[in-house]
Amino acid sequence: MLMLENLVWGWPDAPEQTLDLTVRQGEIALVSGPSGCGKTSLLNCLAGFMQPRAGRASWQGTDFLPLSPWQRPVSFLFQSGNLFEHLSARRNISLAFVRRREKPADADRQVTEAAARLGLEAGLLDRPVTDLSGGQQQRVALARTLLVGQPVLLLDEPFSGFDEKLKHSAADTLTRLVADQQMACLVVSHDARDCQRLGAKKQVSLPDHR
Amino acid sequence: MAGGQPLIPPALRAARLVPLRLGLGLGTLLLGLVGLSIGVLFWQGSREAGGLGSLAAGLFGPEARFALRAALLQASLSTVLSVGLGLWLARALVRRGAFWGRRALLSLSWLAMVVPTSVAALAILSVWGPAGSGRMLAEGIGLPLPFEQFGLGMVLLAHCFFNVPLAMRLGLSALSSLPDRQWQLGASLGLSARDYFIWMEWPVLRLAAIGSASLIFLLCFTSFALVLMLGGGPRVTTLEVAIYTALRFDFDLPLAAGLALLQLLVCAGLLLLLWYQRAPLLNQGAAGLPGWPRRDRAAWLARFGDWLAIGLLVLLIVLPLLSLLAGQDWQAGANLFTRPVFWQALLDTALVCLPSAVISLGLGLIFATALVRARQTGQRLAGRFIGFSISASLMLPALVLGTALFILLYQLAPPARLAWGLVLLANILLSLPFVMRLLEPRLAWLLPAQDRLADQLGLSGWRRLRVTLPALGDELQTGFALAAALSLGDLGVIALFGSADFQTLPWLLYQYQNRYGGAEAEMLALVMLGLVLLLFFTAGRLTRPAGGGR
Repeated sequence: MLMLENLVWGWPDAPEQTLDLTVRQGEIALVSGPSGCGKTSLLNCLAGFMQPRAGRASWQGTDFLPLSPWQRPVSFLFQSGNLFEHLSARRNISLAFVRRREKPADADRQVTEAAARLGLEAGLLDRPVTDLSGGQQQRVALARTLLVGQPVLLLDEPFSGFDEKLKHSAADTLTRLVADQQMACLVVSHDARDCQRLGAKKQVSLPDHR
Repeated sequence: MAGGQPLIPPALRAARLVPLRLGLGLGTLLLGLVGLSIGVLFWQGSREAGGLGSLAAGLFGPEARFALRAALLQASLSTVLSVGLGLWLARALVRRGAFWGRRALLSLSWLAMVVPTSVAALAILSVWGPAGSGRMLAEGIGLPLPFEQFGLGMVLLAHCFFNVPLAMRLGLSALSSLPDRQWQLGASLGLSARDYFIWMEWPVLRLAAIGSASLIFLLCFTSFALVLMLGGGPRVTTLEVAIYTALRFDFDLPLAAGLALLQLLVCAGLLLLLWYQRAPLLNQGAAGLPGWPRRDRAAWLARFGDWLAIGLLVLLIVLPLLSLLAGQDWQAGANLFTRPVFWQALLDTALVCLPSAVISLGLGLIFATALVRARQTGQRLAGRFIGFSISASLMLPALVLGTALFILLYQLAPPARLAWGLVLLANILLSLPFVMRLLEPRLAWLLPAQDRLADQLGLSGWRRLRVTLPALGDELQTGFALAAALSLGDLGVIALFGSADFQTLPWLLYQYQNRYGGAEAEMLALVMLGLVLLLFFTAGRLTRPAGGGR
């Protein structure tokens, strides 16, 4: 269970935000709010790229805020820049094994399977990611996230730039994956309708303090 | 749309073409100057007995072969050492993030690139020369140094002094082109040092390595003052030094022309490579990398390697400059200020470097605007021509230019005044490529951003310039300081025409080092260093480091 207890964050000289939230395994929670209210900063705090001012963030009772980004039980899907553009889709996905001590013998098979689960054909995997569409790129990043296998999934505006049809199909895929893998998923979005699309159990709206 | 550019109405297009045409005219003039210089030497040489034979000897003879071999060896070694250590340092600085000495190191690297060559040579001699503190210490503890008092080792050391910081800055600039999200992704994935290098750093550093290697090879291949002062004789030479010997001591014009042609051919090849790679001569924005968390930062091998690289940079740059300061005999050195020749040289230097900086800045502004307008109006060929003509001034040996123009003009003006004009022209050509590349990135953003408003308000010509110039304040100040500093330290054409009537500070320092040496030479070096620092502190550059290049 992901628990955020009295978590306080904010840029220096800017108003702070406070959040208490619990997300169970297999559950999706949505944090919404206007642009600039601190949604991405919240995810940066949880992923280890920004220091919160106070509070606690724990997974299964263990506070992970003191840990380095690569030691935390989280995978972070940024709004953009999730992929190394000079690498193929396959190479991007296989970077998931870096965290492990040894690359598994069947790494290639695992990559292909993870991609296939997200509807990415094997023929696409050896192309440079810049040749893929926005939706396909998002799925490559998601495939890597699945292989990393961390139990907490952080998503920053995951459907921005998608058309309505793609938003629905991506939301379906995500909902299915979170349930299958028993992940705790925290999504931030400026669009409150994403709550419905994702079937989120919880929704928190951050106030605009500016 | 035409050629990927927005369609521009004819009236506006015509207005945009004015600076482009001006740039094309000046570019043609520059290329004409290169051709004229070589042509004059050929013409003068072929009029003399054995002229053509001497010209062939210049191109294919033993002197040329020897100088070419020596220059290639020296430039290759300098390049490998400078690029290797420079890129290693760039990685180290990125991995160490915002550590306490980062700002000081960046300022130091900028300083190292603008120190006058003759001052650096004297500073290096004060550590590793015959009576150098470092050499004496090493001999005292029985540690043999891998290089002699004068020779290839000293030249390599001096070239590293200037070019390691340059390669480091180009490497930092390349690494800073990676978006923040990629560094965060690397941290999230827990990449190791090897992973960072293979997947993130090498793909961008590879281009920086090629660009900086071509540029550094070019600078070392055409090196003059450092080879003259530290080479210790004919064993270590470059084509430029061979041209100097042919002109100053033998007055063998055809040989000098042949050697110059050889140098032009090699440099043209290198410049084409640079141009093809779009390698920057002067980089910007290298200081802004944030210190994202990295898993490999704590690894002992990475820590050892990073601090070793940083330590080597400090040893390479700080030690000679400190030694120059610490070894100063203030009382004996103060005699310098009682000598009229010093004040005369100071005045002559000011009369060269101030106008040269102003003219370089003006020309740089015209060329940079022309390049931006060439892109805006889709005139790619014109843009490439201008870019190449500016770079071409780098490959023309200053000595060849000076001699050719002297032959053309010596009947029209007294030698001292002619020498002033020639040194001024050589200095403008020396700093122009760097100044232009300092202004161009800013103008490339500024001009299109202001165009619509300026067009709507009817601002053009001088009125437009008055609006645009204040927005270029930082770049103009830095460009002025850079051009003045390069001019202040230049020991090129003055080596041919320096006389009692006209001599600059670098020329005086060269003479002092050769004939008298000691305290007054070191004091003079300190004065020159102080003037460069003054220029850059005035421009706010050392306190706000952002980019650099020599």
